[in-house]
Amino acid sequence: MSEEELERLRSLDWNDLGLRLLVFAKYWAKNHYFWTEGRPLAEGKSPDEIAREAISAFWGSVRKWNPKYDVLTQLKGAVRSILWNLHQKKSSKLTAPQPPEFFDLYVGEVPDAATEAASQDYCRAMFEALYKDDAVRNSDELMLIVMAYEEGAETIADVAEKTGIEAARIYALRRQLKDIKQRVLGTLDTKDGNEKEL
Amino acid sequence: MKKNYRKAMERLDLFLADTEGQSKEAVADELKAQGTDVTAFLGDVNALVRKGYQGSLKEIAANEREAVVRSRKTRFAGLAGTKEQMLLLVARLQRGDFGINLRERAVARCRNQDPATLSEEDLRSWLEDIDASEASGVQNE
Repeated sequence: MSEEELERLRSLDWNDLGLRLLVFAKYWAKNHYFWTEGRPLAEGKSPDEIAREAISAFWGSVRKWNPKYDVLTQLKGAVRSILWNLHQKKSSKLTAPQPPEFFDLYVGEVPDAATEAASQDYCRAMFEALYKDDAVRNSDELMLIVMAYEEGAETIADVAEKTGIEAARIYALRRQLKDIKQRVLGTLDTKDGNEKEL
Repeated sequence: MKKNYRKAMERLDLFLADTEGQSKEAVADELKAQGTDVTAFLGDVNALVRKGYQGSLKEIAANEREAVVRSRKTRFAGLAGTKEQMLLLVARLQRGDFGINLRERAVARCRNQDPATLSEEDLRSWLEDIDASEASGVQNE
């Protein structure tokens, strides 16, 4: 990495990046590791610490950074990786309803067939639960957005194309859908008889 | 085609965890509403960035210095692997193939000594001295 590239990285709005990363870390911890506000993750860590660790790790290996990849995307990848590793080495008193490989195949670990099948079942049940939620059932827009993702949408542009809803409106509905997902996650988890004990 | 629910859920989660379309202020407000001390968190982030930047800057400078030293040492390395090649190189230096400065230094060095009588190790060191003397000469000019 050249000095100019380093300077360009430093001049990014790190307040903006840091805040967005923290929102991401909190969401991921809640939805994948059943973390709740005010309670610690494994090893007594908090999402704030995870976000800081990701930034520190990013700067620690900044010379290997590939400028063609977005910084926030890489930081989010680091957060996922840290959370997954933390979960891997968590102590026995910490339990999670689902193993991390249900979601975290990005780390390159290929689960066995049984885990993959269970993962598919769990995620299908999650989609079904979302459709059954009253807020989704009573909103054509929310229903269309969930359907778009179920049908393979990858980006906001995909969702906009599949649903006919403008990007700005999709962003506005995200807040609502986020709360619904959290609610549904709790319901699904209780139904499965899993304990959320973090 | 069979649906990949796991992948679909991952993409939905990535969308829900994202903040694109929200202003920085809105994101900060969301975090504050959840009880995050945004000011303290940002203080930590900025300290990490400062530390990381300074560390990387030092690393770049150190690597550049090392590269300069390495290039000085190895300028003739590819041209002179054996004693015969080194003697040929001395002859080329004396002819002026590498510029007038190096020619003058090589001629001066050979005034009281026949390079052919030197050992391979001495010859290599002799070439490195000539090379280094030019580098320092250029710096002093």
